[in-house]
Amino acid sequence: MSSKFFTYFTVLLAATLLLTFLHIKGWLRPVESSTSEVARPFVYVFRGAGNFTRSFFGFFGSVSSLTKQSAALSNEVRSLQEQNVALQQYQLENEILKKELNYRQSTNLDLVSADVIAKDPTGFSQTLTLDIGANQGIKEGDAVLAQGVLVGKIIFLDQFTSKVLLITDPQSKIDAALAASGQTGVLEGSFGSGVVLSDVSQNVALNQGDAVVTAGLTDQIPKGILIGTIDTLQSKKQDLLQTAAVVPAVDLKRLEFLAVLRK
Amino acid sequence: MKKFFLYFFCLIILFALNSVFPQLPRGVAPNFIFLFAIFYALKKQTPDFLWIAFFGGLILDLFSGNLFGSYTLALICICSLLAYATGTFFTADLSIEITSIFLTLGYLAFVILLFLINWLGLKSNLIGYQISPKIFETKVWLDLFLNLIFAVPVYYLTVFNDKILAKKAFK
Repeated sequence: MSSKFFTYFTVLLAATLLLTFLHIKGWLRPVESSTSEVARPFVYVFRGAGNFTRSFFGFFGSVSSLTKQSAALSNEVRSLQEQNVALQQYQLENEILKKELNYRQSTNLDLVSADVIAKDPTGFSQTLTLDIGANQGIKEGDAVLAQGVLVGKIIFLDQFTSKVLLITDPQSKIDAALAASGQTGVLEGSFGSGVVLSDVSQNVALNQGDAVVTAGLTDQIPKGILIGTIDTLQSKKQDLLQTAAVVPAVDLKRLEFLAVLRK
Repeated sequence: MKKFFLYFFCLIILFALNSVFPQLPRGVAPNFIFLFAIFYALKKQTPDFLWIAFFGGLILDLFSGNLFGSYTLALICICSLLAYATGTFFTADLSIEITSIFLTLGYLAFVILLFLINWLGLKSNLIGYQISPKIFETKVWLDLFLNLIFAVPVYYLTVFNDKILAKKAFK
């Protein structure tokens, strides 16, 4: 190995540590915000491409299941889907915005609209980057909603952007309750495959379809925000506490427009 | 200078591809930037891979929720280690089998290092959130599988870059 290599290695290692230090001190935030701002137009372009990719794969998935039912019908669906992929994307976006708007009009909560500008590309953490930050009055720990459904909370923010930890991340823990009985439990993420409600007393009956809402035990996430519904019971009768899989009320893989609950 | 623009352009494209990659169960995803940096580290030609690892890591750090600098640090260390190992123990070009082994070991070491840096960050109160150890149950292994599949197109991207850089008009 040449001395040039060791020089570069030392310089870049020092630069990384310096950047980490500057980031921790908060002195790098203007640069980070500017970078996110610069990246925003590209994000929209890439998101368009992403939607097309999703539609493309979704399209094959739907064709596969329809083929099982009827080959003729699947061909028809395929040709229709090919023609309408772009139209469907606009429609979908429109519906999401409409639902978001309807919810905003029907609630007294102080919500700030946000656009998802990036997600963690490596998948090591279930996080999203939003286009709003401290300048909009939001704080760390604030709840993040999609169409009135809790999807995560703010874990980090700078002046113009913020990062959301989704409820599906295994490190996410939220106090939740059953809407019908008010019995509380802890909602934990389980990588990509949804969320789990644990620590529920054995005295309570957990039924499929029961609504799960926030328990409101902390200041920043108020009581009664919908999270999802109970799916399957994971614990056994002899267990001290019950655990059940919860299906989020919105598709967390397709989040584009969110709202942050300002306290 | 032009070659750095080319590398940076490739990193942006690879990051975009990672961002639009369909979301799979358990958060499984290939890491194109990691593959790109590793292939340059295995080429044993110049220390260019250090710049690729540095800027690639910074891009990942900017858009992830982990400790800032952790991806950069992990990528620089792993690429340097692999470049040192291949430069010391292999004089000829690496075979596909050896490259695959290096990719696999490199990715595992990268994830472990990333996890440790974030764990240290949490213990030192530098961050309030850490990568879940559950990634080692299935995600990392499925990631590896995807990385080995996507290593082929990323390798050809590096070959394509070399061809562009070899052209006199580009120099």
